[in-house]
Formats: sequence, C-alpha cells, structure tokens
Amino acid sequence: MKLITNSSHGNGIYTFINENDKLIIKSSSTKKGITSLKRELLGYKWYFNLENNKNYKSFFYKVFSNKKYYRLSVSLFKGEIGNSNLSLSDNYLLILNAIEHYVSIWPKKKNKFVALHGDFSVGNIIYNKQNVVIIDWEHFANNCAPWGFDLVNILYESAFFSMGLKNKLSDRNLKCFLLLRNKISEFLKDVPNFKCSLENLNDFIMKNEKIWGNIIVKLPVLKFTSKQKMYIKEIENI
Amino acid sequence: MNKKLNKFFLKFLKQTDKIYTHPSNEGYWSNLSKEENKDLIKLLEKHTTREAVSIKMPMIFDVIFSEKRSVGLELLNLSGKEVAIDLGCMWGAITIPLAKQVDYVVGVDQTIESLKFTEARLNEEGIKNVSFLNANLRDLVIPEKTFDIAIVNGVLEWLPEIEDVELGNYWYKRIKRKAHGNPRDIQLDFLKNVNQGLIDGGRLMLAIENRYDYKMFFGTRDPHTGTLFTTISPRWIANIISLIFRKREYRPWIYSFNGTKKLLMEAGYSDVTLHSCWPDYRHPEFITKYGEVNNYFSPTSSIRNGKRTIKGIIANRVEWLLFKVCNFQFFAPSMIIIAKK
Repeated sequence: MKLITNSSHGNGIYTFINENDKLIIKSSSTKKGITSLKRELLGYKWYFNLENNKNYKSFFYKVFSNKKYYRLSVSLFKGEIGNSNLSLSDNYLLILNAIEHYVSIWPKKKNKFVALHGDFSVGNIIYNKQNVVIIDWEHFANNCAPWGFDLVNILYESAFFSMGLKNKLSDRNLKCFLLLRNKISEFLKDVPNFKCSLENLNDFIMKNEKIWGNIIVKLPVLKFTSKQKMYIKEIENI
Repeated sequence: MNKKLNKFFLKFLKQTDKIYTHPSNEGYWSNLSKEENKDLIKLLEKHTTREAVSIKMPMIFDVIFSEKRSVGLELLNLSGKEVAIDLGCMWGAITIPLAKQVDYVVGVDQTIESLKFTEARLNEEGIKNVSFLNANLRDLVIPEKTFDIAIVNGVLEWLPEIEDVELGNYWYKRIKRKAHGNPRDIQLDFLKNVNQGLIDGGRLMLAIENRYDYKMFFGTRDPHTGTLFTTISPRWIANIISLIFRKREYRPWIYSFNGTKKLLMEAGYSDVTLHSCWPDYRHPEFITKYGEVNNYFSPTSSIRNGKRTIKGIIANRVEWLLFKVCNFQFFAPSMIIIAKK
C-alpha cells in the first residue's frame, strides 16, 4: 500500500495504490469526500460500459461503505500515470493518444450535451504504449457539457503548466500547442457553439459552477493571468 | 458495546454520557495549559467545537480537524466489525474517523478536558459507538484479549515523562522534572500491556517519529524537547545535552525503524510491518512500505507552510536526493507501523 495523495485540495479523500493486488483504493470519512467517491463510481461505470472501450474486460471494482465511510477499490491498469509537472512538449504524445482515445469512445449526440469527466488532465491518465485509461472520475457528470469539453480542458491545462517566466510558451511548446489545437478544432467542427478556445472553456465553467463546487477555485484553466490570457488570444489567432 | 467491554466499564465511575473515570486518572498532557483548556471547554457551551478552536487556538486547528491525520488507518484495511482502542486519543483526530469505520471504539486519555472536547465533537457528528476512559496509560491494565485494533498515535514517546506535560511549558523551557525508570522499559511495559489486550491476530497501529530523521542531522530541533542533536546522539550524550539546556533528563525516546521493530518484537508482536512517511506521521503526504520505492513520491519540505524559504529549498533538494534518487528510507521523517499480535 502506497499513499500517493492525502486529501488534496481538502477534499478528504485518501488515494492509495496497492501494487500487489493491482488496485487503486480511494476512501473518505467526510461528507464531501463520500459524495465525490460515489460520483467517481458512477463515472467509472459509465466509462467502462462504453461500447468502444477496449479496457472494459479488465475493469472491476469493490465498495466498502457505511453511513459515514466509503472505500472504493478499482483495478489499477498497467502503465504509468502521466506527470502534469512535465511540459506540453514532453507530454505531447501522451496528450495526442488521450485525444484519440477520447474521440474513439466518447459518444456524440446531435445538438445535445454529453458526459463530462471534469478533470481530464495529464495526471489522470494511465498510459501503456498506445493504450490509454482515464482515471479519477470524481467530477463526472452526465449530459451536461458539449462534446469535446474535456479535450479543450487538457490542452489548456497543459499550456497553463508550461507557461514560462515571461508568460509565454517556449517555441517547442508553442509548436505542440498549435498542432494539438488544430487537431481538437477539427474534431469540434460539428459541435455547435463550442470552439477550442480559452474563452469558451472559461465561459462554460463559470456558467456551470455547480458541477465543480468548491474545487472551482483550484481549476488551472481558470488561473491564467490577464497577461497570459492576452498571449493565449494572440496564439489562438495564428 | 460488547459484553466484555460492558463488564470492564462497569468497574468505573460514569462521569458523563460517554466518559468513565479510572482510579488512575491522575495526569495531564496537552498542547494547552490547564487554564487554556478550561477556557476552551467553557466556550463549548455556546459554540461548536470548530468555532471554539478557531476562536481560542486557530494555530492548532489542523492538528485537531485536518482530514489528513487519520490516513494511516487505511493501512489496517478495516472490515467494519472491529472493536478498537485508541490509546492517548486526545481531541479525537483518529478516534472519530476510526469510529466511522469500525463497530466500537474506546478512547483513553489522562486529560479529562480533551475527552470532554472530543465528546462534544462526537455529539456534533452524531457518532454513538464510542466510550472514553479517563486513565493514565502507565497504570491502566487493558482487559485481556478484548480488542481487534489498538492505536498508539504519537503517544509512545511521551510515556516516560511521568510528570504532567503542558506543551507550552515543556518545549523550549529549562524546567526541572521528576524522572524515574528507564524510558525504554516504561515503553516496553506499555506495549506488552497493549499486546495482552489484543485478541489473537489483533493489530496495533503505532505512529512515531524516526530517530534518524534526516532533518535531525541538519540542526532541526528535537520534535519533543526542542534541543539540538538529541535524537541522533547516544542516550547518555542526549542526557547531558538535555541537562545543560533543559535542566532535566532526556526522556521522550524515539527509535530507528529497526529499533522500533525490535522493541515491538520484544513486547510480543509477531508480525511487524514498517511504513515510512513524509513529511511526518501527523499529516502524511506519502506513505510507503519501508524500503519499497514509491514512484509517486516528491519532496515535501518546501511546501510545508506554503512559503518558500532557502532552508526549505535546501531541505527539498536533500529529500529529493535521499529518497527519490537513493531511496535511503533509514532517514525518513516518521513511521507508521502495523504490528500483529
């Protein structure tokens, strides 16, 4: 048993990895934490029931709970968890694979909102060669976001963490950013009223604060400074 | 409460709904002075426990209420049916999360004010499966083969201090104190007492600092006495340092990983599993089975108070080198141990 996060952002959830039994174990004895974990289980169930998800066969889960405590164990997939401390260019392939994975499984509904992961970031992806598994479904919500919302989120979150001292991206990071953004924009072509831009992303989050609750202040994509925002606008027009 | 416990509690004087008094209840250990503690209890007449702490002592709000504190319990993989005893439970940082997971908890503490405070917390949260015993851990005889789980969290090192401890008057103060008995023997007797109170296959969770915490070599003060280099020196040198700078013997002994294991084996535990934790056992961010590599580990020092200091940055780099690169867990700050009877 290895503790990897302890109540990050004060959510009251402990995350352990049990490598012997190949499990990710999350538990909580706070109200907030228990609600999040129940939501996470819903997310996992939704995700692994998707038709095109190749990983569904190897997924299982176990719940131990009573009124005031909840422990969710889910299978730990082979591979490494992405490192959000790395730059956009270092994570380029991982993000590219994550985008492809999303596109291949996430159901599109004409003119309707679809499911939302809510925290689709590099640190919540397990990858093993080409295979990608999305974990950490605490912010899952169904039928509430435009298709592709999570893709835009992972791009801008990575951009946020790659911002240099001068509030700019380095040439390498910029190149990767533009490549990924073009790719996502193409997929978003047939999604009405939602484009791959920081403004769109922030607008949607602010209008739907409820989905994130208190965590909203911690969302990296809302933390861009005004200088950084100007810069992002500039590069979005390239 | 099961029959065995019921019988045990019948021997004692019921003081409030949940608190019983043991004849050996003399003693005091608290972060607060006796007067501060009385004021705190008074505040509870009009305020919730969280409000009272925010008003009276915001500095230790996290020590009492942080969810991080009870993460070690997960190492026990509890099934919900256990009967547990929390020895030195104080303000309930472990007692309350534990009560949410198991069938019944007995909390023991010598400081009656701490128990009254924790009782108020329980009532606020609607938790009913806890009773408290106001007793001194050195004198209490734990009923034989009664508990599935025993918790000794940040308590073992304090047992050799036989006089009252008001932490504010203990830490950096030069004050003479009474001392008798070898500290290790006192700790050993206590661990034996806990052992006989466990059912066969019962487990003890022990959390304590590591004597050879890397920071101790770099001039960080002893977490218990505030002296320099006392944990890492031989005990007789520690005694001299303590006599010079604190006017008293060095008593709050802590041990290395192997030293603690040896102590537990001597006390009769058969299966001892060591875990290293960072940055300490109170608010661990990372826990790893002793010696194993934790790929998710990252240094914890410079983020401690949210501020970056030069000292913090150096500590951060040392931590990175020692634990991330070399995996020398011998120098890890704290340990959490699960020991089977």
